[in-house]
Amino acid sequence: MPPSVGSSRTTTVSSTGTETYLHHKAPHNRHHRHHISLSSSLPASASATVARVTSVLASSKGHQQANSSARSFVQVKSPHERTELELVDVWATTIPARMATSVVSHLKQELPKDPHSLLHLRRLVKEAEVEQQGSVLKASDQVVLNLLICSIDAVPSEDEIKRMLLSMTELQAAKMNDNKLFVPVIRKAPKYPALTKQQSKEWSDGTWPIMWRGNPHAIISELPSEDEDLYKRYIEKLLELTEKANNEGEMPVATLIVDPATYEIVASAVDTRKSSNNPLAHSTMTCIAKVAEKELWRRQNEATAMQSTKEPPPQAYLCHNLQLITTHEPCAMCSMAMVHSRISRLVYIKDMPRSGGIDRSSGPGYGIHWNKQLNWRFETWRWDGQNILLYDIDEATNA
Amino acid sequence: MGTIHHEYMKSALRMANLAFESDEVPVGCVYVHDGKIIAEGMNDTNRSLCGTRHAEFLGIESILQTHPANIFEETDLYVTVEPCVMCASALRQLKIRAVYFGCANDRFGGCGSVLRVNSDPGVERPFPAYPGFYREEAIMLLRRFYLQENEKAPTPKTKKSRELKTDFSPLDLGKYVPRGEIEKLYGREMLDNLVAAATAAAATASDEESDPSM
Repeated sequence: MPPSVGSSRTTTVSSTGTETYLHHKAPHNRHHRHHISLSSSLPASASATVARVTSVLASSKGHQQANSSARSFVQVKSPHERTELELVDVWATTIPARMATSVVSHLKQELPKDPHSLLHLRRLVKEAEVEQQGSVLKASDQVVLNLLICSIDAVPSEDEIKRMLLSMTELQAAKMNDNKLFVPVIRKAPKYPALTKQQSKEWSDGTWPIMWRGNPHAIISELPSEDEDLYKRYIEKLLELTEKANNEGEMPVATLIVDPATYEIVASAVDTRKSSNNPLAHSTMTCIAKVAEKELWRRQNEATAMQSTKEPPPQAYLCHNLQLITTHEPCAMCSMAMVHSRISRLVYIKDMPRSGGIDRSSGPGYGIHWNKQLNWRFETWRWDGQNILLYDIDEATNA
Repeated sequence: MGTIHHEYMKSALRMANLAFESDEVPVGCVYVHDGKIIAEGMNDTNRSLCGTRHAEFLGIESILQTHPANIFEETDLYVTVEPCVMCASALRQLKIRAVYFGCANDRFGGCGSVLRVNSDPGVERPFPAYPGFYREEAIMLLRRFYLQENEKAPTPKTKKSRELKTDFSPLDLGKYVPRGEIEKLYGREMLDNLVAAATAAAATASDEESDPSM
């Protein structure tokens, strides 16, 4: 290997690599719909690549066979999860448990449309679960539930709430028996759904409890296993690229931009800062530029073919809905380039604690992928599976 | 007014005008080495269909065609709008000596407005970034550009947004430049202005600077 590659060093490779590779490779392809077509013949000096590729495949295989719930990617934490708890005032009251169903359906008819969505809150809560809020009116000998009625903004008047409750004859009778029931009280409740299960727990402490049903819109805590398998295939491709880059004396950092709708690799690039004398020729920047060049070329060809004098279509953000897969956590420049290009998801293998622009413990903790002040966000996943043998690069490198 | 920095910024403004005439977000820059402009750049995102083709990058690439990368260690950048987070990181990786800019970039600014990529702890040495050189000219160019964009839109926005605003909120210099450096760099007059501006800023809570979507 060329000694010029900074402080990088190559990994020792077992001579049995090729054999293992072929053994794992054949069954793997058959089981996956979306595999990246690797070069049909192995390069002469492919043993290093082979060993690395094997390691990914092996972990992928292990994952399938041993434990289907084990995951190889973790979502990179972001400032997103530091969202502050906001509260809203709600009406609540106590009702006998046996009347819960009828009271809820009665109120559904009476209540106006609530300006706050309270769907993330639990509707009925046992006494013990809200006791810590104090001033709960303890009912006598029957099983009593706390009922969330509506937000104060929906019905500001206490008299109106009382009227609604007691417009149900069944309730009037029950209240005769126990005067402490059906007294409306004001409670504090989390205004918005929690983003994580942990947050849901924290927010429910001392307020009206949240119903945790996951949050499909904001955050997924696990990648679907189909995606995991797909990214493993892309990682194989990345490892091939870094191998080649390293052999050519380049920084062994590589990037793919893929279209999740078609599984197409739209562009791929390796770092060329060494050969190009440009310290900014990072693989992510080059890859993004290639996507634009490709589209520019396509539009020009299309215009020529159609002999059209029409205006070109308005500028689209060309990486919109595309995903970026790369070997190392991108630096702040590359992370922001992804914001500018509207990349929809980032997947990377290795953190760069000194220079990275994503992870909140990298560098100054920018979390550029989910910075509220910027106008675009993308979710990010990092490899967390078994060791992938990447070439070492200097930790001070901006990847 | 009329420091050497203003002279270089005039050249950057000329590039921003060129961008305007080319239907690009009007941002321009020049790189100065040894008192000489060694490269110019203007925004090129619309033509190239590439959201990363900012003025700074065009200048950088032009310099690297004929110079080694270490020339940036003794090069200053003059750019009409505060470098974004991406450009600020790029400039820091190149070890640029200093950056002078016109108006702040409240949406993406990487030299104090959104993040402080130029001065945060990091791998490369930090660089100073000085705002306020022909700031109003830089803002007016952007406003004219977005006004024109609005008029081109299939459903023009309300009449109010089509009026060219000509007032400027005060620039909080102290947010970008250590106080000790302000007088040396901008002169006594700017320091007095700053004190006045800080007082005014305290009075008006919201402070809309510029709106460059680049």
